[in-house]
Order: sequence, then structure tokens, then C-alpha cells
Amino acid sequence: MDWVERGAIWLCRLLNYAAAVAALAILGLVMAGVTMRYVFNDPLGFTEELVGLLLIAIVFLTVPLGLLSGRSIHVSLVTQLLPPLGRRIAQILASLVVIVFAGWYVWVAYDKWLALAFRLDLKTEVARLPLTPWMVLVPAMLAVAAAVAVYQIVRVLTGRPATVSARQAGLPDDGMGDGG
Amino acid sequence: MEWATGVDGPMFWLTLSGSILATIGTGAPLGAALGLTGLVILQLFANGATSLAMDAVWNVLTEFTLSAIPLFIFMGEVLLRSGVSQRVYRALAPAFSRVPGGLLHTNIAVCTVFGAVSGSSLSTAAAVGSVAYPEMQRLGYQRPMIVGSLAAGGTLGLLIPPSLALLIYGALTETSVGKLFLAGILPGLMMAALFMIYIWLRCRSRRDLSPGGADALPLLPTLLSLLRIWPLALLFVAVMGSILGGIATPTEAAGVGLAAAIVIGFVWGDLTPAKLWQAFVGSVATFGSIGFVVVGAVILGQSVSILGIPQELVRTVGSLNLAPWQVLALVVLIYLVLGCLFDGLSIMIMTLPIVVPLMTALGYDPVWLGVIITIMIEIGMVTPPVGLNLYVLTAITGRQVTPMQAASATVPYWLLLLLGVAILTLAPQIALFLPGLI
Repeated sequence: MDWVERGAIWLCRLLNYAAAVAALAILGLVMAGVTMRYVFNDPLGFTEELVGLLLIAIVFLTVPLGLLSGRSIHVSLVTQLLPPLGRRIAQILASLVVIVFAGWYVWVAYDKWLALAFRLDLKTEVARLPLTPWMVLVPAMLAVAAAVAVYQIVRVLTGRPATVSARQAGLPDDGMGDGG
Repeated sequence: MEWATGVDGPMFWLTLSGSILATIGTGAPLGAALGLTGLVILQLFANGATSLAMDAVWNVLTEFTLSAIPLFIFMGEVLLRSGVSQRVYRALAPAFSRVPGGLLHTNIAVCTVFGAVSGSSLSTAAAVGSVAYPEMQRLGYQRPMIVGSLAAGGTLGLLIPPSLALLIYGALTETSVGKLFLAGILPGLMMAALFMIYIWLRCRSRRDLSPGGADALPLLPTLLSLLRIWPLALLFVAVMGSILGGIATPTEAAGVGLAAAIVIGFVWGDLTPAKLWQAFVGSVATFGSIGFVVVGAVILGQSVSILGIPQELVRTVGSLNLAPWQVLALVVLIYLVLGCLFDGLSIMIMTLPIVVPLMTALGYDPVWLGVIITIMIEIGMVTPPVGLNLYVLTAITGRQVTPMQAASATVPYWLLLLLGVAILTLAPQIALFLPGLI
């Protein structure tokens, strides 16, 4: 295992752990919100908004590991019918789709979406939580996803599978990873 | 050449279908493939309004109602890793020991109970399958028959509330989640009954398919054994009762349900802190894979919505003078085809922006439609070559049963699910009766 592979796996796993912590935070916030509302009759004003922000963070934090572990939902119907060389070419094309999509998204986000958000210093409606740090997370994670896709192309070109095993990815090997 | 580049011209449809087929065909993640197609359409046909995609993704994914989805996924995962399905299985096994089909009925019944607390088809199939398969194989049940019943039973997890499919449907179409959950109960029980009737008929004529079950118990001890699953019953009542009673939002109910599932897992099952952390790590990965499809589908949905495609489609279908049932049959057919290509939730997320406006414009009730679409994506879960339930279960059998064997054993259940759609079309009140009470 070379240092690039170790680094990629480590980074993706770390982001996935951050998503798991965000999920625990959602649970904690929801329980705190329920307790305050029904026990103390004093609802927390920020629960719904913060939970929504954590939710979008989970989705984008998990994208890199989803790509690297092959857990992202995909259709393998056509590629399974291809010979080994055709399959490798398809894997490269699939990674290119990710790179173009993520790159386009990051560019538009940087050029228009985030620029406007920073200029207006956007905040949530009720609790006035700052939105920009959360908004930055979206293109940032897609940039990491694009980097993972570039790394996957390198893996394929050097004769290795594009994805790592569930064990390497630190995920339970429950047969749910490659059914898409 | 305005006719060729407008949304009603061939260029639009060529771009849409060509981009989707080309990107998905490479095996690219569905989220990226759909998202890229959406961005291309926004760039070419909506004056480069690609930043609308960012707003749409942000608005949908920060929606509080959607946060119930990961919580329900965690709940199913925690229960799966707690070993509670084993206890439920043991409690329900004696109840069907005298009936032709024996433990095959138990599979359906346990899936119904587990579905009532898990919300996910895969979790249900995996949880019950990992307990049932080794035991039934030891007793000499025909292997494909076991897998067929488990794959079909697993689909009940998606229909019987709390249901991820109905939750996503409700959040994306702004339909009451409480009403949708209520609407799933009777059709879910109806499907379980249809599955059991089929098993009974099949095993009555071929005794070799089911050599027997657990030791038969007299009626009273059998009923007493059912009482052993009270923690799950309590969990179901807590989650569903709080939503239906209007006490809690689906997210709050899911949060309380998850907390209760963790307590049940530690006290009643064999959950450990390490297993709990693994459940969370695995769950966020599962939710992330669904979430990424939502990202792509929202971008594509935004692009077709802003161009007025759903309304255009409604007008076109209206001009064809088709009866509503004919349009429904066409939609069912499309879902059957898509079920061969995509996983269930992806189909739902991709098609809702088109199908819901079309069908509601024809007079179909959105709550009823949610149930029908859920059954259609259940069918996708057991349709090869993509049917995820089949793959999970063949993995559980250690490849003793191939996906094709599992698929052919599931064909009767596949037909029964279609029969369910027909019954609900003829008698929509089966789905709409309970929501009508609130």
C-alpha cells in the first residue's frame, strides 16, 4: 500500500467519521429539542435549522468514501458485460463523469453561489446561524470527490481496481456495497 | 432553428436521453450522472442558469423532514446489529408450525414486524435473512424457496411504516408523511397476507418444499411467546403513535425511536458500544449513497421543472385522450423497466418530479400514489439484475443460492406485488381508509 493510497483512504475515512459524528449530533439535537419542547415547554429555536445544516454536511462528507469504496449507487448492468479492457475504459469514463460534474459544480459555486452568499453574509432565518461555513463545505467536498476520481483513474491505469475493499474503507462488509 | 433547440424540440430530448444513457452507462455514480445531465440542460436550454442547481440542492437537503431518513436508517441498522431479529424470530416461529409452509410464513411475519420498526427493505431482508436462512437450511427447506420468501418479505420493510420510501416521497412532494405512513399499513398487511396465501397454496401441494418448522406449541404458550416481542411493539407504537397523534414530527419520532432502539439493543439484544459506532459509520455511508442520488436527481429535476417539462408532459398526455387507468398502466410499465436498471429509491427520486404532477393532474390522490410508487419500487428491489434484496440474500447464503435462482424463486411474489397494485387501483380505499380518519 503506497502512501497516496494510505492518505486517500485515511482522508475519506476521516470524512466519513466526521459524518458519523454529525449524525450523532443530529440525534443529540433532536433529543434535546424533544426534551425541551415536551418536558420543559421551552423549545430550542435552532434545532431544525442546525439539523438541516448537519444533514447536508453528512451527504457531502460521505461522497468521497462512497466513491473510493464503490458504495455510491451506480448501474453496473452495461459494464459487467464488457471484457476486462472495456471495463477499465468504462471505469476511467465513470471517473471522468465525476470529475466533470464535481468540477462544474465547484466552479459555479465559487463563481456565483458562494460569492453572493459571502457578499450578503447569509444567515439562517430563525436562529441567525452563519450559513457560509456550511455552504463552503459543499464545493469543498466535491473538490475532494474530484480528487478521489482522479486518483481512481491513476489506479486503473496502473492495473489496480478503482475501488478499495469494505475492510480498507472501514465499512461493514454486508454485501450491500456493489449491488447498484 | 428554434423548433430544434426549444424544450419541445428534438435537441432537448436527445440531450436529455443521450446524456443520461452515456453517463449512467459508464457505471458512474448515479448522483454525478444525473447531476451532470441537469447541469448540461441548464447550461444549454435555460440560459446557463446553473447556479439554480446549487440553490435547489441546498434547499432540499437542508429540509428538516429529510433528516428523519438517516435516523430511520440508523434505527434499522442498530436493530440489525443488536441481534433482536433473532429474538423476534424465535418468538414467532411456533405460531406457524402447524401450517403448510411453516417457517416460510414466519419469514413473512417477522419481516412484517421488523418492517414496522426499520423502514428499510435491505435492513429487513438482511436482519431476518441472517437469522432465518441457517436455521431453515438445517431443517431441510428448499434453499431458493427460503430466499424467495425473505426477498419478498424484505420488501414489506419499505411499505409498512415507518418507511424510507414514503418519507422521501412525502418530503419531495410535500405530502403529509403521517397520512402516507397510515396509508402504508393496510396495503402492507394485505401484501403480507397475499404472500402467506401463496406459500400456503404452494406448500400444501408440495410438502417437500417445507419439511416442518419449530416444535408446535399449544395455543396459549404460542400466544405467550408472541408477548416476548413487546419491546419492538412498544417501539412501533412510540414512533408511529407520536407521528399520527400529531405529537411529534417524523424527525422527532425517528430520533426518539433511534434512542429507544439503542436502549433496546443494549438491554434486550447484544449491542455493544463498538457495534453501535459501526452501525453509525455504516449508516452514514448508506445514507450518503442515497443522498448523492438525491443531489443529482434534484439538479435534474430542477432543470426539467424550470423548463416546464412536467406541465408539457401533462398537456401532451391530455391531448392523447388516454383514460387515467391507461396512463397508470403506462407508468407501472415504465417503473417495471426502470426496476431492471436502477435501485428502488433512485427510481423514486428520479421520477417524482415528472410522475407526481402528471398523475395528480389526472385526478389520482397523492397519498394513494405514494403507496403505489412504493410498491413499484419494492418490485424493483426483487427484479434482476439490480434487485438489491436478491444480492444481499445471496450474500447471506454464502452464494449457495445464485442471484438468478433467487430471482426465479421470487417471481411469484413479484407477480403478487403487481396484483397488489391492481387491487389498490380497484379499491383505493384500502390505502386511503386510515388516512381518511385523521
